Amino acid sequence: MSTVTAPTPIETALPTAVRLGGAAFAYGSTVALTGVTGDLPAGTALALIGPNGGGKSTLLRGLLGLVGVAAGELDVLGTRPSAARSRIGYMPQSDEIDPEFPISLAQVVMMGRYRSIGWARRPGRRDRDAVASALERVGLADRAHDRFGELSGGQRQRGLLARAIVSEPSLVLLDEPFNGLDQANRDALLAIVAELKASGTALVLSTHDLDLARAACEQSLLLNGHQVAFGPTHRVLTLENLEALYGDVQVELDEHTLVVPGHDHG
Amino acid sequence: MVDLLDALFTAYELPFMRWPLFALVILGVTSGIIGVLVTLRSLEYLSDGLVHAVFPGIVIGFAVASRPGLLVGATIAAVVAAVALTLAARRVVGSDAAIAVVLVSMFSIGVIVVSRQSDYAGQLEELLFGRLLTVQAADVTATAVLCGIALLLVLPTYKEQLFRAFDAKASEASGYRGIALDLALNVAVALVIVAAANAIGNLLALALLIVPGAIARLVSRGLGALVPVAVVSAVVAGWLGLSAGYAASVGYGVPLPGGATVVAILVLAYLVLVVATRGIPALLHRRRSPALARGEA
Repeated sequence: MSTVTAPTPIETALPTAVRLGGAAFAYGSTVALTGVTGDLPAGTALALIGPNGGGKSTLLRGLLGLVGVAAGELDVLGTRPSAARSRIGYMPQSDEIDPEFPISLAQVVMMGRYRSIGWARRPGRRDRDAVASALERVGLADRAHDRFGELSGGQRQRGLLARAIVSEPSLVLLDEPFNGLDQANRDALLAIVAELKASGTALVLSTHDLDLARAACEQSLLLNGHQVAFGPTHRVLTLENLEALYGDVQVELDEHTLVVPGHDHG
Repeated sequence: MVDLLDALFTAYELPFMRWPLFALVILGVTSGIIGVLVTLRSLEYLSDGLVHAVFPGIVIGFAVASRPGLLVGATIAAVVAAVALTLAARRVVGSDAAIAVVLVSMFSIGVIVVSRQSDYAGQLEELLFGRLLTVQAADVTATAVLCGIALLLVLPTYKEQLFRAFDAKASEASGYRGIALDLALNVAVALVIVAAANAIGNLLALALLIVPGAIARLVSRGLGALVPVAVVSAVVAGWLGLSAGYAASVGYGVPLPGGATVVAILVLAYLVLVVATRGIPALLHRRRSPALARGEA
């Protein structure tokens, strides 16, 4: 759909999907997040971890160009965020969606094709094929014509993921993708994330679940209004960093699990 | 005693029955299409705000230039109010409060202006509740033009409007500007209200915009059926309402207000369908979401 105007840089082994250089994000004059610096290579995933209101959603919105960069630099897929939007897939939290809305799963996934279909036009054969293959990838091919609101929470989440990937994006943003999922659906989602990475897609996901950050994400970014740490997950998720992240609230670090305060949908 | 077939069909050979029917068919098709978006976006209250905001435009236009002025005044007021309410809803925390303030202040301005006219009560009644059986060819033309513009605003963006209704966050993330979609939809709603105000009255216009969409949402399980169901219910209610008014006045000498009869039939159909699809308790209790009913939440 979009044409490349700038010369494409020579491909290295891992081209950079997102580059942040001291970036700050602000809603109007209210600064919500400052000092974010780091690179996200293609084919890898980044976990956003931090308290509610710490800037996870702000950063996701910033990557989409919906929140302004107040200072520093932000480069998404080699350009500015709003110009990259057509190559970004976004998955919101499924519990914000009205389950009474009369729409089928396939129709929901088709929404991910609307940009490329264009105004005043109807989906064509290629769009329907893309929807079918996205549903196949998330394991919901047999539920295409089910009403979206009647699917289980995990199936809805996977449906929204299918919508996020139906246009073959280079960067996928997931807002709390593992919230409220049972073990089977978590495993399914982890498998899809691994598959996306293998195909060269970069991912950014916000999560409260440190186990999943370790399992799915090469890098983690700890946020609490500013960047607390950014780097390889195993090096970033330390007791020291997490105490700095959550302030004076008691943090318990078991071998694998960490009890995070304020674990709710926010 | 009036023949049923006569009331339903042959009566429409009379010009004073035919023109209102044309107007109601055009209004029914348009408000069915746009009403589906109103119900999916939960814009019922905003539509009510627009109904009241259009009122002073109708009254001032009428005071300045009689009947032709009415439509011009109403259209100006409608577009201004739609833009103002759209912007207010984005800037003011709690858009219901903004709508309520606009609604009461505009309506009181209208009442003050109309109270300066001679025959205050008669004119107020006609403006609020319409004059269906006096609709002429020129009124039908005006209705068609206003409805046509409303459809031009909404139809090319219909799937994008549905996307925004279903998932506003993802719609914006895809690059759709919420404000542009909201402006197109709200101005279209305002134009339909103006078009309907002339025929079935300012206050009853709201019913035509809201009830067919609600009926569609009640009976259709999929997206594809919403618009056909809403359009058919609006058009059929218009036809049956006109016929009922004809039968009552010709057969029994009871003059029924045309617009109100149409609205009563729509609302009756809605209530019957609520009971038919969800049972009598649905009228008495708040609906629970399916997730809650399954005990998942």
